[in-house]
Amino acid sequence: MGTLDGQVALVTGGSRGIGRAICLELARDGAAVVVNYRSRNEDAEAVIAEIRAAGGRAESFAADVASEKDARALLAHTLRVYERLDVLVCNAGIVRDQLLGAMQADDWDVVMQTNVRGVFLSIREALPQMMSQRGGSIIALSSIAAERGGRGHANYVASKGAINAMVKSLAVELAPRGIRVNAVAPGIIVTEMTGRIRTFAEPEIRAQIPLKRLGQPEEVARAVRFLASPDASYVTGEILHVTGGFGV
Amino acid sequence: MPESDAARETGTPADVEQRVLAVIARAMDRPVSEVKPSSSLEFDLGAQSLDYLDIAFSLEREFRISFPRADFMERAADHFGEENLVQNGVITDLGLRLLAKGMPELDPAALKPGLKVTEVREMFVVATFVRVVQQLLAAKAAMDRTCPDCGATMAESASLPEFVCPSCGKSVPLRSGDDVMFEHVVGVADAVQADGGSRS
Repeated sequence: MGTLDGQVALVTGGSRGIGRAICLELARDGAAVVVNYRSRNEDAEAVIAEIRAAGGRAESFAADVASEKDARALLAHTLRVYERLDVLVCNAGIVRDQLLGAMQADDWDVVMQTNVRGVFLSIREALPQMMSQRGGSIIALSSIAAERGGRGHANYVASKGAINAMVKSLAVELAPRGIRVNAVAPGIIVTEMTGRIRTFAEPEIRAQIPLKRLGQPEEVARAVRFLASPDASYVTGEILHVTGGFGV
Repeated sequence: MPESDAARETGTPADVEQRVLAVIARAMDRPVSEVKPSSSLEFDLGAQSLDYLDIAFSLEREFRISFPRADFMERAADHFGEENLVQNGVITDLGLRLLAKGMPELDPAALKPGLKVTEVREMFVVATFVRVVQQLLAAKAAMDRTCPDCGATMAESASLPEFVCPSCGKSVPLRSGDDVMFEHVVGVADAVQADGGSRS
């Protein structure tokens, strides 16, 4: 018996990295999972195959969450298949690192489109169902970078800061309908996305982390699972840091 | 479309009203006996902004319609220009005439000079939602059900405001509630302007 038995979760950007670990973790705890991906069909299929092989329920659906049409289709697909939605994890995110002076406007826009507009659209499309159910848990993936800043990724940092602000606002706005809204802010996690920074500066980064190691996607996924579950029934508007103490 | 299908999808006016009352009662966590067509959403039922959204979502699910997100005055402002309907926060004479014609369920005694635009939403009654739902159902019933891809007759989706072709799977969304509302505003505007012309 899992704490998410009978529940339905939708994870955007769920085919790899932290998103993949979240899909597997939520499924392990009993949720039926819709694995959203943008382009990597094979990765998404591998995730749902792993969930199904373990006896879970999962579907994949290709959609660019920054597209209003796609975001609508994603939610429609989820409801067609599972007829409810209990957990929405807004994980899809991208980086386009560059020093600001050399950053193209497109680098700024495309990060904001996926990381902020994508979260907005995913949540907006999920609301009719969650409001009618009088409950739900929304978890957005933020980043420790939103509070620490950092050279070369002002666009990404700004997008994650926007998510933190959005989470606090929506927690208040949606509380009357029993919908909790939280964020998980990972530190440096071993994923494809952090490959470049790990290549160039892993020893220096480790030195700054009190736990003296980088995080694993599964450790972030467990924090997401907690916020999704009834164990977090009195938690809303929080930014849960999963950083090994980085930035404390 | 066979007449029986149309009747089932639109329902009689009394059926529609009862279903709207039930939806609003559920959204407001009240027994349906407390909800009347003349009930004020704000003053009688205590609706706040999130409740309006909840009611709109619930009506969309109940009737498989696309409920407008903008209200009548916002749509009317798109047509006439806001400055012609509201000046210094107060509804103009043209605005009052539009409201009287376009939202006949509102209390006519309240539609008097000096009415502030912020007070219009406070005047919404349950019958306002009944009227809008009936307009949206009529717009849905009038839509062409022929699949644009294969020519088969499309059926209503069981879960979404769209028609789906049973033959090729093509889905066609219903006309948006905002479009239907805009059409209503234009019709009301024509009627008001005709009235104005006949008076002058």
